[in-house]
Amino acid sequence: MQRDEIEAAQLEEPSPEDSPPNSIDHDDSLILWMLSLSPEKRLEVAQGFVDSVRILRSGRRAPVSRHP
Amino acid sequence: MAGELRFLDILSALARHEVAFVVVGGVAAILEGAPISTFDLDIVFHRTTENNLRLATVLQELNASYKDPAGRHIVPDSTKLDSINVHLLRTDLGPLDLLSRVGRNLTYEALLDRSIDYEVAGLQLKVLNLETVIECKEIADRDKDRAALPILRRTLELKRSGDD
Repeated sequence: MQRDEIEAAQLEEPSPEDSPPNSIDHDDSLILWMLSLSPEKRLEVAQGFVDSVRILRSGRRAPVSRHP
Repeated sequence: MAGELRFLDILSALARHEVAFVVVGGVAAILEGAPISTFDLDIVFHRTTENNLRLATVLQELNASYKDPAGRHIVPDSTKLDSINVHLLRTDLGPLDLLSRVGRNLTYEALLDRSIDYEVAGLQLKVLNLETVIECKEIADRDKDRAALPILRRTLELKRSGDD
């Protein structure tokens, strides 16, 4: 393969690391995670977000929870 | 003075006084599984004399007052609940919006067929189904409603596909 062809191929096929995140897939994983929770846990998640924002607004460091 | 928002504590107070209501808006969407955020609790209350009195008692307990741009301290009571359709309140447990109807003029009675019974922390709650939450947001058509619609619609799609 000539150098020009290699460069062209690299341009056409970005590595996964270079790919922009797929917002649809990301939303789906978040939605599916939320749907896997009980209604009570869903409300706890919402309350946790409210509490985190309040802590951030007050200038303190907020605990960060992440979904799997 | 407005307090820190405590969803469950407000809902508990309403349930303790046997107020008839349906959870609508962002909290309904969250309970239905949509990963969105909200900073108030919206409910549609059953507008009857008895229920208005029960609700007024809760509002007094929560030290509720209207969000008045002029800064006046106006408190809700059963008479106002009977005559005003939208009550945007501050309480000791955070913002609380009381509505007598939502969407296409859907009252409490009309919402019952569009609601799901959830048990949350021992509370029996009537929660507006996601289809109707979406419909209400489409009708309201504010910036924040339009912003939430894609994730609400996608949540509904995934819920339906999961039900199959």
